[in-house]
Amino acid sequence: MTRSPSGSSLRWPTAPPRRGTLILIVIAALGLGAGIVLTRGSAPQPLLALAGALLAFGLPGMALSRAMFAGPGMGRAERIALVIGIQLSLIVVCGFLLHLLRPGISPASWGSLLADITLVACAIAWLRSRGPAAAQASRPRAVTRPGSSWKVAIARASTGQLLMLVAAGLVAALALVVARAGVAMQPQTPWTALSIEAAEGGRAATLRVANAEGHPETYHLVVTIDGEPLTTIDTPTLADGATWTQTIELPSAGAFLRQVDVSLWRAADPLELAAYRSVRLSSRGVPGP
Amino acid sequence: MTAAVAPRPATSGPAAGAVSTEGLGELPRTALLAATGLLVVATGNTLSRLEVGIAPLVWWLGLLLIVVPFAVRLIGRAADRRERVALVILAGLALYGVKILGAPSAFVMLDEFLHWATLDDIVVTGRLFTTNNILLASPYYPGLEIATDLLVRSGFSTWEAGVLVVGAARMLMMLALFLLYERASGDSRLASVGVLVYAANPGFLFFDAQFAYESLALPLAIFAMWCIQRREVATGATLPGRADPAEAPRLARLARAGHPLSLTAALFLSIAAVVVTHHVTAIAVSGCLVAWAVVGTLLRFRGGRPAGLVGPAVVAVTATAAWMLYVAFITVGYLAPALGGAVDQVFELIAGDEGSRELFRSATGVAAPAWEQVVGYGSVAVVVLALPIALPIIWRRWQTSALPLTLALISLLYPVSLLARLTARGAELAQRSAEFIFVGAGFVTALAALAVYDTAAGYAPPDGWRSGIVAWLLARLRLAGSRAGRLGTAAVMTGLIVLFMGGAVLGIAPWARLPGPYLVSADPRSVTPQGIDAAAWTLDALGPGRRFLSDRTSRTLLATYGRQHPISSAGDRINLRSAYFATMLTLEDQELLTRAGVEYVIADHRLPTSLPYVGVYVERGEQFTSGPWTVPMSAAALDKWRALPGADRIYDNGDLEILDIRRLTGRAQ
Repeated sequence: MTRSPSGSSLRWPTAPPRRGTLILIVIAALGLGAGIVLTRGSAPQPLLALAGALLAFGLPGMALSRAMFAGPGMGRAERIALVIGIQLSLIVVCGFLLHLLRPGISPASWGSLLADITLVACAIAWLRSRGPAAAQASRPRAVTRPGSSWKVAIARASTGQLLMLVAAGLVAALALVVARAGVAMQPQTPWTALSIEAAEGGRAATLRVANAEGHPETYHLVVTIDGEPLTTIDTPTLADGATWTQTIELPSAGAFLRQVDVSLWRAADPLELAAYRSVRLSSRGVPGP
Repeated sequence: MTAAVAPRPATSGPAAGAVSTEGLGELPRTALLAATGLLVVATGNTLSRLEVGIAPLVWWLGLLLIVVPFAVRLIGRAADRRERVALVILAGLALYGVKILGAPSAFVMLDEFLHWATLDDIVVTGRLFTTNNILLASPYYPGLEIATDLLVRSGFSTWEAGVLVVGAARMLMMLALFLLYERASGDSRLASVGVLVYAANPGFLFFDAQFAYESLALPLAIFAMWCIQRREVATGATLPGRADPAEAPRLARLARAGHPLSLTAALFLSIAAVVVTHHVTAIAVSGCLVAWAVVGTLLRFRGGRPAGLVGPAVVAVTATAAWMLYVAFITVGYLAPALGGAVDQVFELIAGDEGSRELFRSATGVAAPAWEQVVGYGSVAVVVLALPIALPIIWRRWQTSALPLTLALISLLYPVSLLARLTARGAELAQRSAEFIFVGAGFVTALAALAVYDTAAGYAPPDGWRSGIVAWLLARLRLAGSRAGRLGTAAVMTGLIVLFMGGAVLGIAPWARLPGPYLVSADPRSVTPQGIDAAAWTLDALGPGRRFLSDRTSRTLLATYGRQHPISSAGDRINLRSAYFATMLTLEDQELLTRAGVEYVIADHRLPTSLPYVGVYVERGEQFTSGPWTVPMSAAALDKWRALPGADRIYDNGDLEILDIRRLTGRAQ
């Protein structure tokens, strides 16, 4: 910020050339880095997420808006709208492009395409920044509204105002914590899930018990095959939310249709009463070895 | 007309667009109040989950705590443009937070599951245009899913990625709408209030905040409209008048420094994105651009300059029609019956052949609380009353500007949409059209609000949007000076609050607004851990793509958590209602199941405990008699599967059972 001889405030409507070039270099470097991370795919998860977020939410849009709208004429709010609007539109159109290309839509194809667009747009923006429009932009111009930039506004902000902004962020985060705590605290009907599925081509059956009773629970299972007892199982104590699975071998009986019934009781349920859960699997056996 | 009060000089209060010298102005305080409002909303949601009676009251209090500070600051004349821009973005994000806090870790709204299924298909196959059996049109409009795909592939969960993409779209919506209104009016104050009024539309709080295609397409459409208007200014076609002379140099500078070619490129890029993202938005924006072009063309005969509006309108209409006819033809069959049925019913209502729908009553027969009904009607009245106040001002002030006149024309659709609300099929159409009509109604209502406020307070804005009607009314009531000012301020603030609360009332049923215990066929309230466990188990145990006969809620869970193929009458062109609802399977039913290739049935034994809250247990047209369900479905209809020879219950969690009926339908291997 400088002041003109007449005393009016001066500012650059866009970044001055050197700073603008620096910003372009940063965007290009980040775009290249993000593209490499996504293309290789072997990066640690947080880095992969960061690369994806950068390419999905900003870098190509920022680079393209700088390439397309070099020079003066756009306010800050307009530039932000252009970055978001171009970014969201671009990514949709790019998705169609990737669909048409042989590799299809994958992290690598996303990474290479969006990084390429970012780099090319940065190059165009840099070239345009050396043109006459940018030269005009680089000339300080009188601005009739002193203090209209955000930098000045933040610089003028009182400590109380800045503290309020920080507090607002913290309170919003607390709201999310309270909402998520509500999900965890919501009373649920206690339930247990019992399931059976064929395994090993019909030679075995896999049993699964999921405990959502709201407390640790032990289960007693009785397995019959064609009405004859096959086995009984007492599961270990399952914590609330825990799952237990076990695969049981079925006796070979030729290619006949067999019916496996499984009944489940909770530890405190009297076995004389009807089972708490029951499932059935009909499967064709396979000849023995 | 008689002015009730002598106009105050323009300098008597800070002019709109004036620069605050107090750093960030009221932004920090408003942000803190909005965050506190979110905390109160979150508390209301938690109380509702714990079934505490005052939960709705707390929730409404939180919503007001968010809205009122924004309204006070934006209607007032003290904030500068920079602060207004920040405030409208913050308001949009805070109101988005209200939806997020209702389901803070997973999708629960019906449409979110429909799009999640398409996203999953794209992520798994790496290709577009897959088949989505629960929303046939979705794969042909995959813009939202594409925008989310990269984030999911980068390691974000589907919910996180969806929240981020819709959040970015929400930010674009607020900013682009502000810039559009500002371009139309030349006033940042009117623009900011207009955006706030837009946010009061019934679809804003929940419907357009969900992970669904309109949530992305609508912001892009508004962005395209702003590009057109910005391009118009860049080419020098239109230079709207400014309310504040202090703003004139800035606007003149913007008009000189154009970027028309770049804006044209951005415009066509965004129109392309809209066309492939959402059919209804594409149609709506095409219609809007055609109206805008017609108005612009007519204004040329009144001495206006060529505005370059015809090109974008032709491109939008051509692209929308071409996509719909050559790529997404399935959409025609999807939209036409809904649209045609609604129009037919409106005409029948006018002709007296059909009785009107009972408003504010759910499918279970429960009426909304009386105060909600009053607020709902009140919000409608606010918009309807705004029209006669604002339309004369628009005609007087902007009769040579195409955009304000087009926005006024769009707002005139609002009374028409009210008629559709009275019919059964038109109600949904009216509900869905609100977010488009409010693009015009927001501008018009905001203008009326500011005209009332400024006229009553005695301000004489430079552009003279003094309301003759209000001045006449004040004179009749013999109100002047501070009394008139207080009355005007109170009326405007009350109107805005009623508008906001009414939007929330009309936009979502009371039982869906807050989370809580399980309800039968009540979309967000029917998603339970039992249902999710059952659906997720099918993927683990059975693999993807199995053909299921299921109810409405299980269908969405199976298609997403389970990646299964739940059979639907639209997707599979076979109606299985007789097999599902029959208490005993007939031979015809068995043949039907065989023909549909059903492999598994999911039976939710909670369904017969109540009438369905959304009106159906499975899908439209399921009742054997005309009209809504009057008694719950029979429990025997679900029990029959257990007793069926050849059906194996392979999963049981007490509420839900999964039955293997492949031997019955000849699909066993």
